[in-house]
Amino acid sequence: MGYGSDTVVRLREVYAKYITSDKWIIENVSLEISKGETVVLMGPSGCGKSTLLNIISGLLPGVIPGHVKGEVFVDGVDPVKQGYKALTGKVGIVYQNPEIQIITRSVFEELAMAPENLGLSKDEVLARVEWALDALGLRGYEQKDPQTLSGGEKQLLAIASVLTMKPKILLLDEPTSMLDHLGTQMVLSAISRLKEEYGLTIIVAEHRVEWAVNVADKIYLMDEGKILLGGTPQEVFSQMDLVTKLGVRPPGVTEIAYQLIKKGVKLKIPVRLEDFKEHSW
Amino acid sequence: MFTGLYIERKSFMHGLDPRSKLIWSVLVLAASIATQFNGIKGIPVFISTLMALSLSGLGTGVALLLIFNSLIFFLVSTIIWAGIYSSQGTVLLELGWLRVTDVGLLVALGKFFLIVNPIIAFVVFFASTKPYHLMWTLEKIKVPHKLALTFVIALSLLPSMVRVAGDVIDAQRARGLSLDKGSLVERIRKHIPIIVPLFSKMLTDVWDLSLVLATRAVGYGKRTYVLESNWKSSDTIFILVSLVFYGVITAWGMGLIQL
Repeated sequence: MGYGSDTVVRLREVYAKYITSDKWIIENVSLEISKGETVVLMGPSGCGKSTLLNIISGLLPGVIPGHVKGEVFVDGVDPVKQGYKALTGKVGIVYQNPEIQIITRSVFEELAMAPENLGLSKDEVLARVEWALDALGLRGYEQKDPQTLSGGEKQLLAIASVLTMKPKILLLDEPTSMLDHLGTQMVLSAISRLKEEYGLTIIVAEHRVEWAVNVADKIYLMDEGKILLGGTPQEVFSQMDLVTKLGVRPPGVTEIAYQLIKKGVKLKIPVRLEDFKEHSW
Repeated sequence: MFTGLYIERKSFMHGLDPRSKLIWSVLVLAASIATQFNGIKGIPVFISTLMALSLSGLGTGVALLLIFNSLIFFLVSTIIWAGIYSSQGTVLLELGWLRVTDVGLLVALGKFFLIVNPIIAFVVFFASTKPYHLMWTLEKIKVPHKLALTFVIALSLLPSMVRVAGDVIDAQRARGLSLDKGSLVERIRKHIPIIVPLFSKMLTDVWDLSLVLATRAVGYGKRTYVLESNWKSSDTIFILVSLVFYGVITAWGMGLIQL
């Protein structure tokens, strides 16, 4: 297969478009993601983040009509050739609108749905529901009607209902874009916890750069279907000219550093507030 | 969302196993078919469905709504069947071309109950059975999982469609659409700006739902049901009483026994 044993996602020279598209939505994208990594995809709306997640989940072209060419391997599976069902239980995807992802009448039913569909034993289904309730802080909500939950709670429920499949890879497509500040904090904290406590491989399309630099092992900046810049948060945002040219808003401390550099101050570009501690003033 | 027509209540009908309620609904249908040519024989079935409606905690409001909306149908049924049986029986009413005989009226009433009784019975069934248990029940009677799921989704779309239609009407009214002015043809034409966005929204919602279902392993294999329903003694009694009652009505309707 030709990739490291730790690699769970490998895309090589991938092109993709939907059946209604004239031109490629994803152009010549190559990336590798290792087990346990948290990767954040950033870029303007329409740059192809969602399409990339749909490819990794196997939904494009498995469910969403379209064309994908190039090499796609996800946890040892080629979803383009083998079909998206080959990724069942390996990959979970959560979308930005929690309303469309809540489809049952109680939190318990919602959490139990995926493992029930997998045909697991009753004991295993119950065990996974219990685990998900604790992992996402939904203990006590079991009998609640999901429609009575707040936006943030609904999104946590959506994440939990995918996690009950025990996927190795969790994909999140702008999970906080439709949430208020409190909901956003709930979801981002939960994602951080999932990374630290459960070692999940997480790929998230997200605009909130301050959160991304604290959690991401790698950040990929995309524009017009291409990956223009990729690496650790430090590597990405230290390329001041390119980041500025792409119109991506860097973290606040980085922006301040950019301005200081333009005024002649010499300093290593920070991406987090604590990075400033390295400097003596 | 899988709400379907289910209404949360604590009632006798809600407490029954969905299998017993399904059997009851089918018995109502059978009795209604057997009594379709004599409305007098359909009255006990009608009364029993109203009792079930009451026992499901849905309230007399729902019953009155169903009955009121079906009166127009009864009127149409009377005219049609009176015309077909106008040469049989004693003439009760003659207005120009309309000739209503006692036979025609009995058949009209029977045909009316043939439609209304099963509707009320299945409304009670769907309103008192959670979509989860509805799917479970269908799979118990060997309906393939995808078909059972499709049926539950279709039921869920009904209240969604009503809600979305209301939103679209409000939005179009805010844009100046006036639905209650103009001739009949104009009023029908004015519904086009409602129908098109309604279907567009429903298709979008169904598409989004299909993606979510695909990510939740639907159709992966044989499904487990953790929250299975338990058959109780009340279900056995309910079914036995239903079998006797509707069995007698059915036999009576088919002329096998005289009451």
